[in-house]
Amino acid sequence: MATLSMASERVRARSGARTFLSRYARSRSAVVGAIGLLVIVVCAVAAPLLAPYDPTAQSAGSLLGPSGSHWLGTDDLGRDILSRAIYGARASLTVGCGSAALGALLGVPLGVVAGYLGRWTDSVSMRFVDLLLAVPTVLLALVITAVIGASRINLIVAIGVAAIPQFARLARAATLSIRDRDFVVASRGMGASTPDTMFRTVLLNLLGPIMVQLVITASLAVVVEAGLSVLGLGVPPPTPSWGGMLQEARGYLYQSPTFGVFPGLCLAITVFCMDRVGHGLRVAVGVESAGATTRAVI
Amino acid sequence: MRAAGSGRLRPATAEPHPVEEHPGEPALRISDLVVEFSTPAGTVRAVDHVTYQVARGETLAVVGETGSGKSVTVLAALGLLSAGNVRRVSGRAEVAGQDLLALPARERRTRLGADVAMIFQDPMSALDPVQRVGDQIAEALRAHDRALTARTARARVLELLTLVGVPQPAIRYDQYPHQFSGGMCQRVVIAMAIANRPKVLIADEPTTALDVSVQAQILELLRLAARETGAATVLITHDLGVVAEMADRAAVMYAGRIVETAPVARIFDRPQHPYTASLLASLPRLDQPQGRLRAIPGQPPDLRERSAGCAFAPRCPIGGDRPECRTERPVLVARDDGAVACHHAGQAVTLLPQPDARPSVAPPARPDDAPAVVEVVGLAKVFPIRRGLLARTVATARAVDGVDLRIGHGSTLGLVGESGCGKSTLARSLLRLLEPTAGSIRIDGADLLRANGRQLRRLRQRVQMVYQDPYSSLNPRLSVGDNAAEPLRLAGVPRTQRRRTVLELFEKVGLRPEHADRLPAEFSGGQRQRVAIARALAPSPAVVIFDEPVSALDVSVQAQVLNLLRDLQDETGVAYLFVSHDLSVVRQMADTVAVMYLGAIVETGAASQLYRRPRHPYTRALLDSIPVPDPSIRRQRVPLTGDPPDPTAATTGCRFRSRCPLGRERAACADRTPELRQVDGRWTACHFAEEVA
Repeated sequence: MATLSMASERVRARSGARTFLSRYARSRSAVVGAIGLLVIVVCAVAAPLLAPYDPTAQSAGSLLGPSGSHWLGTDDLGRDILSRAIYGARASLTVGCGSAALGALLGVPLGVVAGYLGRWTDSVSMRFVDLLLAVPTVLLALVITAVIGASRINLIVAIGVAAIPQFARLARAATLSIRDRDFVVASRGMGASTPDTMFRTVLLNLLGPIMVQLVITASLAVVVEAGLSVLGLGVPPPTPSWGGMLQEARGYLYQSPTFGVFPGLCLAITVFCMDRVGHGLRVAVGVESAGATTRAVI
Repeated sequence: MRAAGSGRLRPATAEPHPVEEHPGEPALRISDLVVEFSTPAGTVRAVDHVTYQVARGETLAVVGETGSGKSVTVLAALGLLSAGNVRRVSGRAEVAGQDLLALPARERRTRLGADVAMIFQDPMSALDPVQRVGDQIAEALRAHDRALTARTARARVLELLTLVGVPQPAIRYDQYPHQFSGGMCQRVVIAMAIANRPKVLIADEPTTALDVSVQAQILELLRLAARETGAATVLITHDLGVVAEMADRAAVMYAGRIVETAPVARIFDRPQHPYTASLLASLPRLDQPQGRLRAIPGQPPDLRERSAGCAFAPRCPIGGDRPECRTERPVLVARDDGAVACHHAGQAVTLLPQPDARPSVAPPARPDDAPAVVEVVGLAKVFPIRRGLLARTVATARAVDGVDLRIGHGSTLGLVGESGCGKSTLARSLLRLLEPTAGSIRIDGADLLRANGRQLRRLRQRVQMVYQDPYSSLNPRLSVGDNAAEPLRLAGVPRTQRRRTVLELFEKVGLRPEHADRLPAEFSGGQRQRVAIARALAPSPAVVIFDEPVSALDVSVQAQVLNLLRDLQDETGVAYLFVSHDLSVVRQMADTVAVMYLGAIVETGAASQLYRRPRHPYTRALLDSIPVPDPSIRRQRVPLTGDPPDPTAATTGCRFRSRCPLGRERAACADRTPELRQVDGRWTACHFAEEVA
């Protein structure tokens, strides 16, 4: 058995990035997800170039079906649905990634400090995290947007704060598992200060799992953002967002099915792609096998 | 404990191992075994046409380093390889004439345990933690004999437990594995293995996880088990001392092949393969230190890169440049009472150090009055043991209990002791990684324990440490160069200067400077330990603490690292504190030696004196317990009985009393704790030191 571990170790050795990619590629669905996500990101970034119309311009008649000039038809105000869907990716992605990043930025240091220092620091910060966890994400977001108003930034803050517990717990658990490894002890022994040990030596070794968590949290955040938009607490109109479009389409499902179906599809595909990318990263980092079935989202 | 086992275990006379004829059918015959794994980087042939056989009552030692295929061979032969990436297992594995590999899995299983039994390296994980120990043995019995009633099974188990030297078997029967020490667990595993009187007994590194004094007991027990059952024994080990002590024949494996096989005495006297000879020559010796060890250059081969020639050729002192070694793979050929796979078999024996050629003078002893770099007085570390909801302190463990140490400039102090004796706690206290409970530590005269934050960080630059496991002591996310530069970065040395110093150090420790930007994962254990050594030397420390620096390394790499440490000390004049359980390694490295038992130093003095004439019964017993790689001096030993006592138990008098061959019944030993006193030119904490000869 010793042979096996030695062999695999030397393999890992060859080239870090290359092996990482080849491990990632072991999961087909992860590759599909990565390509899909790439397409969505390109759409969001290059929206002005790709969208046939201005997403807020009321160009033609309202609630038109798909046609040569409006591939997906128009909405109740006569705006092009395809253009709005393309621009809508911006809202979903910025809110999704922004809130995940905010959650990580606040949660990871909290978790590292709690895990590394232990004792009362640990107890206090984890009780705080429990407190956050006790409040449902949507409710927390509701309260925040209700108090400080709905805007993209506020959405990011609301969802990001709700994501703190996941990051804090992950970082704490990972810190606990490496806190007593020799290289961390060695860092102290060499005369490193506590912050130096925590945020250089320890944090550097948590990047893998944190990256995975970032993608997963982002996919959840996209769903939450859409949910809040349907409740009318999302990105304020007329800025297009998929959740907002769903909300607008609610009353017209019979007259114009494409109005509601397409933003919904966009959401589903984005979340699916993100989930698969998360899965691929987990495989590459070595916490999940390539054949594992889809994790339930939410 | 002592009463139960020792009487039976001790061989009646000091007779050399019985060299019986082993006629007839071999109990185990492995032939032409090939095992391949598929890895992302290609197929690895871990076992390459291995053939060996063991007769009833015979002990065959299979020796080899990590990755040589010694364990995989038997696991594959028994059909126990379960890794998903096994690509090919072919060949035959006959037990009493029946090929196990040809049997359907179900039938094979019934033969395992009945005909073949295995003893693994880690006894703790070989036992089921939630089942009573006795029931586990009974289960092994009843699995193969359905007719056995519960009562007779219990009686048989008690018999077995008595046989393997478990004291109070009736009580121990109903206990769980966590209530047993490692040595006791291994006894239980052995009892389970011999329960069904197997024809073949396979022991895979059975003593590697155990302390020296316990190892000696278990080796005795294995010998007894083989004798009782008459089984053919395959002993898989990397320790040539164990081979010399235990085996009738030995097979040396390298890179998945057997390179030499012969009776043990022949292997050690007249090795025919250069690898065997080099291994023997590279071992540090217990009787006297050598100036330099004859290290084998390079590292064990990468099995994925199969060359056409001899796998050992790149490291071979004989055949390295000869064309036939590069192009043609040597096959095993019968020769001199055994078989060897080498094109130049005759020349290997010249690699052994000649008795007269060995430098008889120890390296010049460093003056004892050299200014002290480290001075430790009355150091103590007490760990509270907390239990219950309120974490109340229910007991204390005195891990270090009043230790005085002194390390002179440029000299090496060897600290020896078994696991749990407090040597690592002591080492870590010297960096103040643990906060000592009492005592004082002076580094270059500065008080370490009174130092405030900044002073402490500065003092820590003067004391560096090299850890046991090079796989976990380097930060996996930093390049090896950055790893080595860490202490300099912390000292505020600017980047370009750090880089320059590190590259110089890499050169010094035998690493290629152009590899400085690679991650630790790309390096082997020996190379990583070199990185760790470079890191320790980077801030020009006054003293480096080595915590078992070579025990995680392969035998052939150990010597390289020990030589390197020697050279570096000669060059820089840094002092070493060398902590190890391996007395031969300490003999090779240390000027003075301190022997620790249960948190206290029981004997300390010049290495040459201590090894030649130990005065403390514990030192004596430790030296006796070590298997020496020389089958001609297989001795009647007086192994220590029992395990090191629980450090939480309060003891009065001498702490070694419970295991001491001298003082068990003496009043003085129970009444007074012996202080270190000068005896015969060294310091010994024993009331009756004069009696130890």
